[in-house]
Amino acid sequence: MFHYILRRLMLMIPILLGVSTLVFFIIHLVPGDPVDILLGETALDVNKQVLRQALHLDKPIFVQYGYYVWNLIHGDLGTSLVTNKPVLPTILSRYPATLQLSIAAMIIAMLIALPLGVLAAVKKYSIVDNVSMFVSLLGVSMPNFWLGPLLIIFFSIHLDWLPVSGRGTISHMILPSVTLGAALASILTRMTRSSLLEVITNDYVRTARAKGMRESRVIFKHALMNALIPIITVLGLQFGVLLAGSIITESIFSWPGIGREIVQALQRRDYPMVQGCVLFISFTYVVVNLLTDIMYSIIDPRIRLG
Amino acid sequence: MIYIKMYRFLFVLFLVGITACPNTKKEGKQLQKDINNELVIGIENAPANLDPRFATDAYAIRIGKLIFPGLVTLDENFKPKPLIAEKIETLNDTTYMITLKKGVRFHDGQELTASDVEYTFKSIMDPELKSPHASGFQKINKIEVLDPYTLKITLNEPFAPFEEQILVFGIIPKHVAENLKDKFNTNPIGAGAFKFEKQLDGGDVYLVKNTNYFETPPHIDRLIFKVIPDVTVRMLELLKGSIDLTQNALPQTLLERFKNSDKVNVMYSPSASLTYIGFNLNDPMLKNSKVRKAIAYAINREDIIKYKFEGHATLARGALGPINWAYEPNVSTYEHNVEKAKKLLDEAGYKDPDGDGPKARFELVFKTSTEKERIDIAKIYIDNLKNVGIQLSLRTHEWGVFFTDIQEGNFHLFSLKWPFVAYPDFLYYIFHTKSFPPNGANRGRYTNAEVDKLLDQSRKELDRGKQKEIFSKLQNILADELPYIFLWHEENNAVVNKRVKNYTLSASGDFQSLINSSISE
Amino acid sequence: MKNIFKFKNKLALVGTIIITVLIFTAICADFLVSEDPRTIDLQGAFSLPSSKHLFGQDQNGADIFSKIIYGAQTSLLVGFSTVLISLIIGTFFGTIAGYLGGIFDQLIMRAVDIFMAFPGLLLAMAISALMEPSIYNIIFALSFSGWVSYARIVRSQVLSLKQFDHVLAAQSLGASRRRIIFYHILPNALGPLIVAATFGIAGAIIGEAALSFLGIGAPPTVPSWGAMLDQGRQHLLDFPHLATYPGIAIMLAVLGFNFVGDALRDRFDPKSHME
Repeated sequence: MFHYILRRLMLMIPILLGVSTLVFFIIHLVPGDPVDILLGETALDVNKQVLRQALHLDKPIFVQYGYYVWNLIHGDLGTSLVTNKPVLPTILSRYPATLQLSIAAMIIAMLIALPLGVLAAVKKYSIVDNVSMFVSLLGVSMPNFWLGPLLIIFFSIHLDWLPVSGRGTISHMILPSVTLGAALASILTRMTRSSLLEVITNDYVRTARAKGMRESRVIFKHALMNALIPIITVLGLQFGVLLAGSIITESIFSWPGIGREIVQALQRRDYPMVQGCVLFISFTYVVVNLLTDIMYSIIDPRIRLG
Repeated sequence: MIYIKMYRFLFVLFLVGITACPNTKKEGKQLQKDINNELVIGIENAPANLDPRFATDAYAIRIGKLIFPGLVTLDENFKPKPLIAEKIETLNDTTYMITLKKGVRFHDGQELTASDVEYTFKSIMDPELKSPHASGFQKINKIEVLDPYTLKITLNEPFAPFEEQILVFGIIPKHVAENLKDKFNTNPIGAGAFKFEKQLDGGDVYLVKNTNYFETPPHIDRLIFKVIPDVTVRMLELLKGSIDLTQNALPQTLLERFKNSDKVNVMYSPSASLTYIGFNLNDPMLKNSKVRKAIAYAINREDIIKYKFEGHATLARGALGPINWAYEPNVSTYEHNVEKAKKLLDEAGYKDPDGDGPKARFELVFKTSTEKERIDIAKIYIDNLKNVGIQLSLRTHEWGVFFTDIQEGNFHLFSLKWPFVAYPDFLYYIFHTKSFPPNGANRGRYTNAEVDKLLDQSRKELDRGKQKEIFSKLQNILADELPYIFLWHEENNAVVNKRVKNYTLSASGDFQSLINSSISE
Repeated sequence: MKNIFKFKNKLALVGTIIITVLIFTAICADFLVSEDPRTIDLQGAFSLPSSKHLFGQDQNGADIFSKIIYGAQTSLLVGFSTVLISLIIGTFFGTIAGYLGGIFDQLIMRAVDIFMAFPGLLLAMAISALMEPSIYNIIFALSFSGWVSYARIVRSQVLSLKQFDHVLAAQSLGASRRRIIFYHILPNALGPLIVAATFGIAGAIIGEAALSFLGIGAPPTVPSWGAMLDQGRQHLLDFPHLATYPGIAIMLAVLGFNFVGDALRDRFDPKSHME
């Protein structure tokens, strides 16, 4: 187990290096001079030159890349071109917001998906099945930026139950996490249904039934627990989608996480900030997937990591 | 057994979720003891750097003005009037003697003196600091501090807009900024009506009132500038009452619904903004002023103002609006006229190959940013120009790309809005030959020896009466030559909660009137 | 294959009908509407649905009905092309990785890992900013991040099929590598690929809408549901018809492909799980 985790952690290094290389070249290729955008037209050309030199923007792109990787290895993500503040503390202070939103979205998705999926599987091909599939699919078929305002209008304006946007109390968290988690909920519901259906036909489930065990107990104790493994795989992989989705959800709900920061930083060509945010998002994704793999071995002792 | 594990797992996740939110509740609307009322202003994006030496985005400049007053400020007609300065004397056309008010104190209690002014200006000029505003300060030759309340500034050459362009900059405390260098924005201390309290991660800025302000202190205890990037959500926040004010942060079409609201008022004021279409004058077709005039006649500005702005915009006759002191109304104008447009195009030698048929005389590319309102209006231009036989193809680019393109002259036509054409010297910046990018914003590469000469003259002429004559001439030439289509001056708009009293919407669209506003509960 | 359209559940039937209608609409758009979706009619802006304008008029007075009809072309073009391109790239790399193994597999799978860990939307944003805005560049941007999931599917299929008797038999008979891949492996991997592709189309339609929200979607003169929805969103309270129709259109299209995808999955490989 320990060796496995160690090996996986080592594997993260080339992935993160690859991600940072990809993001570096992509954003440097996008037209738009950060110095022009930053200083505007009123700045002196001399000053622009000085700033370009200070930021190494006058050097060939591969030299710039060298500086970037060198600093990265030393744990230095650079200084924001826009706010003049170091990138790492800025991201660290905003990262919890993104993590919190993603995790809340995941929990909400599971709270919706597990019951719906079980219901659909138990009453396979019935009205109940069709309706719960339909409901769950609504989530994936509504773009975030439409679902969000609809939820706000209904719950914050008409019912006056929840705040419109921003981060603060638990009640601020509800609408954005539902918006973000809706698509995941629908994927999980279908996942739960199909993996449960598969498990139900297995011998041990039949045995349990034959023993005269109550149906609910059969489903929850035997079937669902075994169906969880593929669900957790999906959860791990979908966490990346969730993080990417936070780019839009955070913009809508004025949520001060790194998803919103990325959009703004990309517009302002704040290279270090974009690079730092992407690195953090990727890092989270990789770690979550490692965690899900470890989770297997806890849930299903048959799986040996190695 | 396994399901216990699953619930444990969910529970752990939940705990992580909760603990990942360290400042839950505390940030809510829990007011401190001395904060009895606060006003929340919805803004579109986070102010990047409040330090007046570095502030470039509109919100950073406007919020910064509440923290950092300048030596002078602009009045309603954009003429300078003293603020921290007691008086400003011109000894000759390059020397200014400035006397400061006594007893102006920074937020930390230290008095603001002439050496702070000297420090602020010198650090803007300091190449080490790379201030984006350095170019204007190039005009300064020498700054001498004569005594704590007097300083003498000598210029290299006469520069008439010295007061409104240079002396408006916010003054920062030497004793604080000197140690922090370019990190001063982490602890912005000024002498303004409001003190900086904090800036949250998402960019929200908290200001509290400065009870020792050298003019009448504000009535509102705290201002919160809340960043709400999404336009729909800004509107919903206003409806809900969780923000009290937006200024120029909602499109006109959304304001209609607030007009009958019992919660908020909608206000308008004439502004110094100018929306325009820029031509690339290096283009062989657009070089021809007849083509430019034809396009001006073809565009139905009247309808756009009527339907897209509900009448809350004024047709522009030039870069300067009617509220500007140097405004010249008697210039050539271009009312919507399809026949004139067609005739001018025929005269220019671009005959329509098949009359009113589908074939176009020629094709032009129109560039704009991805802002929704601009795209909507651009679609109207396409329709308008189709009627005179010009095919306009629309290219929208993300802002950074668009900006690079127009800087480099990589366009036929583009449209943008100057938010604040307050001082007439702005014409120098957009039409002088010396202002080709990157030295200025003459993006269309307009060049006219007479315009250049008049613009140079206007900078040397210190008498406002004579200046006005020069600017009148300039506005006449520009209206005849049409390097821009001067489209309209959009009015400022504000949506303000009815609990806010004494709030006025200024022409410049800044937040200065919040100093005099109050809140009734 | 002939059993694909044997419906065990109603949703699959509904999905098939939706997709058929959608394709029909896209092909026959010119015959279905007489009004140019680009018409400007400022006086009629925001008009509610009427007999002349079935779905009302948008903020510039354009006919929403005809924009929806022509929007189907855009959505389907983006959906199908994105998936096709992703499929080709993904199959190519997936086959190489799975069949050749070794260093090829290592390299390709590391690249896949990198792309999986990279926020796809951001990649699409950067690519859209990089190039002239057009439908084709949106397709390119979405495919650029979309190919990885197909590569993974193909690789795992190839890995397991490699051990199958008929493949081993073909190998022992001296069949060429190309022949084995094209005749013995890929046809058998088709099932899961078609399932993933069906969901992929739905994903691309949503993806195009997301890019519209970020201001880098379809060019403004091309009718697009995503752009319409984003524009209409502001007017949800006063003129809900601006956002509702494109919203429903997107929903129906996405639902349709998802219903069919679900049914295909049940049919093709009840054991495989969607990623």
